[in-house]
Amino acid sequence: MGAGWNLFRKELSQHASTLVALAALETLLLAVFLFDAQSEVLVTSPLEPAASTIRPFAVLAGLVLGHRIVVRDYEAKSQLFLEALPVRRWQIVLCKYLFGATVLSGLCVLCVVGLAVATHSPTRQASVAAVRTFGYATAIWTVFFALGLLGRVRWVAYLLLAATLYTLSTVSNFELERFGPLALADATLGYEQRDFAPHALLESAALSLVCLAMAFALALVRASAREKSGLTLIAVAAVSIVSLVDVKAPRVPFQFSSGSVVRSKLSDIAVMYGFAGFEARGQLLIDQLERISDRMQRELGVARPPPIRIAHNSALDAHEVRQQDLPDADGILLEANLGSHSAAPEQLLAATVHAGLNRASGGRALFEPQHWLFDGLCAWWAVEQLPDAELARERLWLRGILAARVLAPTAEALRAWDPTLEALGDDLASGLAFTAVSLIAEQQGRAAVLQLMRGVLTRDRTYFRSASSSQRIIEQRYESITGKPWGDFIRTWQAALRKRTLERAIDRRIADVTSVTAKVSVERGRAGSDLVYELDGPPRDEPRSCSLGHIELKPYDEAVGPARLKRQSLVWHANHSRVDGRLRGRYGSGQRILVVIDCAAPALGASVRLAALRTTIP
Amino acid sequence: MNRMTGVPATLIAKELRQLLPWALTMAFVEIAGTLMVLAEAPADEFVWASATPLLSSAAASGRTASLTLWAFVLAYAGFPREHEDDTLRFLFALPVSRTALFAAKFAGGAIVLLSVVLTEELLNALLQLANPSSFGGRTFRGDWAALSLALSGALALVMLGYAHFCSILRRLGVIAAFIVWSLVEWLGHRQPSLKALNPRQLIAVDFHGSDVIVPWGALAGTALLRRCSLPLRLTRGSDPSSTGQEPSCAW
Repeated sequence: MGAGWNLFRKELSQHASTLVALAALETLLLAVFLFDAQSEVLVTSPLEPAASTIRPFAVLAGLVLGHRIVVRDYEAKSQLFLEALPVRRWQIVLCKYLFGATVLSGLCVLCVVGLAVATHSPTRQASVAAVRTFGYATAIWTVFFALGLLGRVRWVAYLLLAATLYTLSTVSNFELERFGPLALADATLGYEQRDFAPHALLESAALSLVCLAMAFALALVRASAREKSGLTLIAVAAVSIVSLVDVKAPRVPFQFSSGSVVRSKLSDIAVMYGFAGFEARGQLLIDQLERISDRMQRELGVARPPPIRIAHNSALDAHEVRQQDLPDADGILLEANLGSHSAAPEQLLAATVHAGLNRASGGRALFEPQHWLFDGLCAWWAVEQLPDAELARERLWLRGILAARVLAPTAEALRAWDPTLEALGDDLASGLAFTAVSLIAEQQGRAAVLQLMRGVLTRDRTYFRSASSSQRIIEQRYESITGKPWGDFIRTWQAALRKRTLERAIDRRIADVTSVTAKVSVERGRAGSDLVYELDGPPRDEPRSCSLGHIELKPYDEAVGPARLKRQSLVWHANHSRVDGRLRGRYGSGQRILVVIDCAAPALGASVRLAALRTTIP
Repeated sequence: MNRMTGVPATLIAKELRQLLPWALTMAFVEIAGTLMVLAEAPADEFVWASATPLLSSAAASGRTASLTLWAFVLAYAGFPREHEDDTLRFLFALPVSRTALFAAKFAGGAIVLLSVVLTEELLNALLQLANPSSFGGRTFRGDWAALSLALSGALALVMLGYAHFCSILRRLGVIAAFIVWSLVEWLGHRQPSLKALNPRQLIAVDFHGSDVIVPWGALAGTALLRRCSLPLRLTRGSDPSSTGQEPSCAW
């Protein structure tokens, strides 16, 4: 006992300056957080600044104390002198550990209790905070104490620890902050009045015991530097391999909680129809999606089609399909207005195929040079599932013809698909791609199209391909499958579109869209710059459904998907020939923006882009 | 004995030899980082704009962090290492002024650090060659790449200056740097106008349309701060050439 106390006093006199520096650092941090809390409306507990202080302080102080108490003694070889004294080696190690634990937990608990007393916090709340702080600080110190005994290798151990935790959080569903000791100092620390968090305290105690055992093993059974380095390198290699292997834990498929849901018995598909009147429509969709899921496996070799969820959303426009993100669940979730979509079902099916196959390709299907083929194939393949496929094909051809009037159908328009998508909008662009894919199927057969599709879905592992070779990826694949030049196909495709355009009936069918003109510009207004829009067209008996989409662009050009555009409905009443207006002061000087005007075209079962402008606000 | 006031090439060569292990480590890290990028996705999907600090805040933070770390490693591999190895007295005994010694130390670190920046920029430019949508002016521009290189180089020199200044205080310098850095981050968070104090602002530039607004003010400010720190660095300990006494161990 006497020897232990003497050792403790020796540590105290040796590290007095460190203790003063740490106390000063803690006071500084507390002052900063107290100052910060005065202007933060979300801080409602007087203990919150103390909690914010001890979280980083315990880690920082653990690092410093571990270095001063453990590493320096071993580096300076002064522990050899200590070992020559009539005390046991474990007594020296234990004394160092207790000294560090007393200092670190003492400083942290003092901070919490001091603030609790100064702010007259309830005794129970102060006790809870103090106990949790003690557990947190002690566990953190034990970890740094054990790692400090690794000597110079400790830096590698710190990196290794950080890499392991990062890997665990990205590769699995493991959430470190839910366990002790981090759970003890979580966001509730400054607010909790009753719960001492016994589970987290027990976890922290278990971690401390494991680390303490490791520390004693390291201190009493000395490994050589070479052995330590070897062990560390093996551990680093193991963690690196784990981090390179993408083994995301499988997530549970998304499930609807509503009662108005029809589910497939054959595949993992569910449709939430919302209203009793749409149940039959939901069942029909299930049948179509079951066929799609089955053919994804048989024809395209998709090993495991994703779980598909369709939800009715009456707020959406006709032909509009919206995909929702599912960050915590498996599957794809699409929203559509099931009532409106019965008029042109190919949109919803194509969107489902698009989302499902894109996931199967790991996102590679959207690689720009093959994106057009993917869009066209999804539309072509979805139409095949429909009972009235001929009508749907006709609508898609009309879209393609209209697209070819807006933008010349060239090989470059297919290769640089992102600008094409922006100029035409998604619906017209997929129509244009559909015409090209239909023609390939007509000329080269269905098997050739499916072979092209499999190429899109296979994750390409050719890393070092030149840009020009990447650009011609589809052309090369087409030529190798069919043995015919790509240039010939493009000429045939252009001729086919020209021929269909000349048909008289076509003009009548798309007159409703081609008679409308839209213009968008930027003008200096009173509150900054305004976006000015004008739409002109022959009056109609029913109102038109149009929208203005806009978004701020980055300094460089990049593709902007329809989901990213901010939309504003444009009210075009029945029997009116014109609609105009301005969006005031939304953007300022120097901002690059994209503005588009889209209108619904019921004859095409789609939305048509009437204007698109990329500009910098002067 | 007359002391040389210039920076002899042999001194810089000696510094570079001393820093060679660190230079090799940095080269290894750069190449490993590039290989990791290639392992994650095919090279033809690599977008230059998302990897340059000029256009991506994540890349700006990453480059600031890596340059700061390397600058401190290089600075602490200079005088503090000489002090630990007890070779400082030998250096001061050479017929070279203390300014020249300091300049050689700084130049050695600067050459290594600027090589790291150049390598990073070159690897980024090379990687995006395979992306068909990057070239053709859509996400890559030569003037942006040149500016990214120049500003990153300026940031590297500024951070190296600060790191050399902190190395006077040896280990305490790292803690002091951490506290100052935390304070600067906190001030920038509290008062956005004070973000200019953060050296990261040198490479996190603003744009007017597609034109870069070069942060001349921040460049001048940090250059001035660094210039002010040099005399402090040099006045630590007396110059043996002026007093004739044994050199003091300032580091």
